[in-house]
Amino acid sequence: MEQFPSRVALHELSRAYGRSFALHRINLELEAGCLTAVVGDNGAGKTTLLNLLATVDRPTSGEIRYDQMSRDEFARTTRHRIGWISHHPLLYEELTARENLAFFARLYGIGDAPQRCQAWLERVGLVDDADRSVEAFSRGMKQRLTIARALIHNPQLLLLDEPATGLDRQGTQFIADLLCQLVARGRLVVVITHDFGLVRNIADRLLILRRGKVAYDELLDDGQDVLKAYSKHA
Amino acid sequence: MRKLIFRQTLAIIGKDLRREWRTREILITTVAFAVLLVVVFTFAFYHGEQTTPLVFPGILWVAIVFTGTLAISRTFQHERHNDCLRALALVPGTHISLYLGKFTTNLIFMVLFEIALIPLLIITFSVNVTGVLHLHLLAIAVGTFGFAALGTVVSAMLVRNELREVLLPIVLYPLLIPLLIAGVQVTTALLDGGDWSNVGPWIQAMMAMDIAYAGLSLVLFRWVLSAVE
Repeated sequence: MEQFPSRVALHELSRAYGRSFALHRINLELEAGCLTAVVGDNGAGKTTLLNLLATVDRPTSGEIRYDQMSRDEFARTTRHRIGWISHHPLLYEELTARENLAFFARLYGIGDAPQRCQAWLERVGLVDDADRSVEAFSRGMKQRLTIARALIHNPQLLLLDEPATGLDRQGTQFIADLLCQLVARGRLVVVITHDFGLVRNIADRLLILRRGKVAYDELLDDGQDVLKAYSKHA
Repeated sequence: MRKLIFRQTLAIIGKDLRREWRTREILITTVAFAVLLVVVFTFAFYHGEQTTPLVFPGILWVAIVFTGTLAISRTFQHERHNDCLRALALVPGTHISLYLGKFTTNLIFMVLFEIALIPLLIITFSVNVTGVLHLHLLAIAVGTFGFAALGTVVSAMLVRNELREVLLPIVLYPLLIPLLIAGVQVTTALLDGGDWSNVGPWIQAMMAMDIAYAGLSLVLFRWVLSAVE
């Protein structure tokens, strides 16, 4: 698959709600093959940043470029390269797990939709529950299905807001392994999380937001104390 | 891209019908409401066969519009739940297929409740439709098409609005007035013994309005979707 976008650049990006800034003059460059973990206290601007990257929100000022493409052009033509997990599962509760995946697979025009759905149901461990209504699912099961829904179309840019929410230890390990595989295949991954264990295990880069500004932005090496950096900068 | 949009439209229709089959949320409420309207209208306005030509056209179209509003107001509600509308908006082509899919399901739901409503009205008001039933049905079909075309886009516009149930008729009905006037004229003329020569121009005008409503809605839906996603 073509690695587009391979680079996302944010220049003087701000998002204000009324008079208060959720993000203020952010400058960042995100590269393919790198997993960036975004941490910060509540209200630091993490979700706003992800929504702007996903083109579901518009900046008040500044610009985002996806390689050489402007935000509007990317939103108009190339949005299908985004895999997005938000606070909401983006699933239909009355449909079964298989029907949900099949629906999104058909929307994306995936030719081998039934096989792809089956493969993802196996991958996220929901084969036995594939034909049950999503409304009967536990939070962890919904989260597993959400992950499959977000990745079924093989996106290049992965924007994940708390992907390990509701997952047990096995599920968290699954998502960690999955993200490592995707980064190794050249995906550009941005993950919001409060799970410092997950950050330590999988992140290549740590971004700490504080009151809408970048307080810390460093590549992570093995010996780095993530919690200490967070305590100091968040 | 056309092939993808066609497949997306079918997927959206299939999903909505499957969902409705499981919940029966729209059909039960609209059919129950339609029956209730017929009961109320019959007691309020039926005073023998001589009153039928006077009151029936208005009652028929008001019943279709009120019940249709109930169906159309639910169109995008379940897309709002769990924020599914945003997931749909991220897929290329859905600014067309989502409109076409929702419009088609609205049309299907409206036809289904009309199957219950119209015979009931015809029986309770003792309307003689012999020989002109096809013209009555044509006028209702054309009116239903226009209502669904416009109602779908207005319903999408209001999906994030807390007052959407109140605002939907306030926004939708003034836009529908030309179509409703034409529909009432057709039904009145047919009850007065008219035929195609009397109602043809009105039905053609309704068809022209349908084309305008559907075309405009399809064009506007892209902006509506980007505003509400």
